[in-house]
Amino acid sequence: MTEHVIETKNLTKQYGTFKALDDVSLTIESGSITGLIGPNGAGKTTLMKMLGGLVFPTSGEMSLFGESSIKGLEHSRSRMSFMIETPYAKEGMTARENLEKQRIQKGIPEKKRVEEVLEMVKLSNTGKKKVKEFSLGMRQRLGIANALLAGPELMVLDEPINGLDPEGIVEIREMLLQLNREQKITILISSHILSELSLLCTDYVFINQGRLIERLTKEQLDRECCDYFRIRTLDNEKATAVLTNSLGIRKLEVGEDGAIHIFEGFERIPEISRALYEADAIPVELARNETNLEEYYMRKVQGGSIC
Amino acid sequence: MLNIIRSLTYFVKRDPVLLLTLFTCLVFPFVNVFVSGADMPFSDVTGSVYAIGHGADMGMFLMFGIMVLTTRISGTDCADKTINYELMMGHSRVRAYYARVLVSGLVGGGLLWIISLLPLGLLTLLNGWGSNGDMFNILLRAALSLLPFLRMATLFSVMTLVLGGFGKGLVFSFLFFDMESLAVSMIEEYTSFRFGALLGYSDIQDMLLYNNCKSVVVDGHIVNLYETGMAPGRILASVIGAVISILIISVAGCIWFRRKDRQ
Repeated sequence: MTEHVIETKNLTKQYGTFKALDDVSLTIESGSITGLIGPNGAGKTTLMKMLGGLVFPTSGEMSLFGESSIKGLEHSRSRMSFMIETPYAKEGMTARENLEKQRIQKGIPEKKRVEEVLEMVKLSNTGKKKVKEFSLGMRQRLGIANALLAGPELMVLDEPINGLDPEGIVEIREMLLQLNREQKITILISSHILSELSLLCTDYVFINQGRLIERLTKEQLDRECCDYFRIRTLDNEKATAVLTNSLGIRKLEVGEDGAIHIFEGFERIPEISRALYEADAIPVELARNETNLEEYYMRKVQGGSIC
Repeated sequence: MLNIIRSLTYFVKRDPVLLLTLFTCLVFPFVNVFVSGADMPFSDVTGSVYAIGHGADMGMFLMFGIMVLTTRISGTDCADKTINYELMMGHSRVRAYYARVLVSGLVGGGLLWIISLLPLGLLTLLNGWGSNGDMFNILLRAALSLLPFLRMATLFSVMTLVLGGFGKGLVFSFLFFDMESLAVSMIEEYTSFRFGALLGYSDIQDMLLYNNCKSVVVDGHIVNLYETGMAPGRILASVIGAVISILIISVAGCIWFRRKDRQ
């Protein structure tokens, strides 16, 4: 049976009349990488802060690793690590000193662990450089190093790749995937770079205006994404006639890109190709077009249409 | 809680503001002794001369040291939010809170109190105690002043934790310290309530103050006569008041700290 590492029931956080979180019920399964997706102010950070014990819910319940009492939650948090908003650090200290302070606070006996995580996030060569001289990307790396320090079973990461250069984004992605695969670390991650999340996540949670609007697995998302075949021919008029009259395809349109978009009969592509060729409507481009996470998000959160 | 205390100690040892403040508090009394005692030979500056002449002034100076140290230790982690890591790691709020109050008290109150006694000890070692004051009386008062020092350290620390930052804590502690002296003297002028024993700084100063000091010659020896700034009964009230205040202030602060959302 899959263990629920996070479970919330009707979690609500209200500031005056504003509901930052509204009745959120959610489960995160062990071993998953769940992307928390939503616009600014949707409630992602509030939810993460609630999981971290920084913010108290107005109503509702939550359990971490099956524990829901105050003591139990505190104990469960020792199995987790968090990186919320801009990574917190002592500006006047070096990366090594910051991590050493955290190592002591977390009660990690192995001193070499600091060097290991610095190596992992490629900050081991920062020497005596103080954090106040760090770029945003370096701060992010330090935050990730801190999250890795205690060898957590569950990582909660709020915008961890924000400010990283493309090379850094790939490195962090690869590292998170490796941690998930090899050490079975469960990850809850939010990011505005949805293309990155789509390369990383096994599950998606969409949240907007404090409410959970959809939760689905990667497979479900793939199925949900409306896709079409784009066919560019030398004679669109003739091709459209072949597709509708000879092959009986009804769901099609000529797109703004000048190509014919067909929304059904994907399994008949070889037959379609042959028919067009024989009708002298020679296909010069034939490609599958899939809706990506970004477009799906726009549809879900902003009510946009893709089909 | 021990791990939080250790990590705070790690910070204390590396923070330039804290180290500079401790260094200043260590050096200033000696500088003061040498500057104000420039008109007499160094060998005449005995332990009792220092205690009677500079004790209360040093108390006032060290109060500013306490302010900086306690607000810095309690407030820096709140301002840069690194305190959040402790809570997200599973440390309870009570432990995170009391670790700060404790380290602030030990460093800001205890360590500074020891530093305040160093010139007294050193001058006594070098030049002897002298005949300007009763050693037991003065040392007892100096020892008992630890509790009001801790009371002030607790107050500044809790105020900083409630306000949520070093800068805010320092400004409000200074304002409180400034206003309190005026308020205490006014209240005590018109009522019989000894307000200073619970919250004020004036008790510490009075405890270390020796008034109307004058020199007389007895059997060919110069002897300084003085009145103590605080009667024994008031000293006891100040010590008991300090313990009560520490308990009330720290518990009240803890209740607030436990319930507050952290951003």
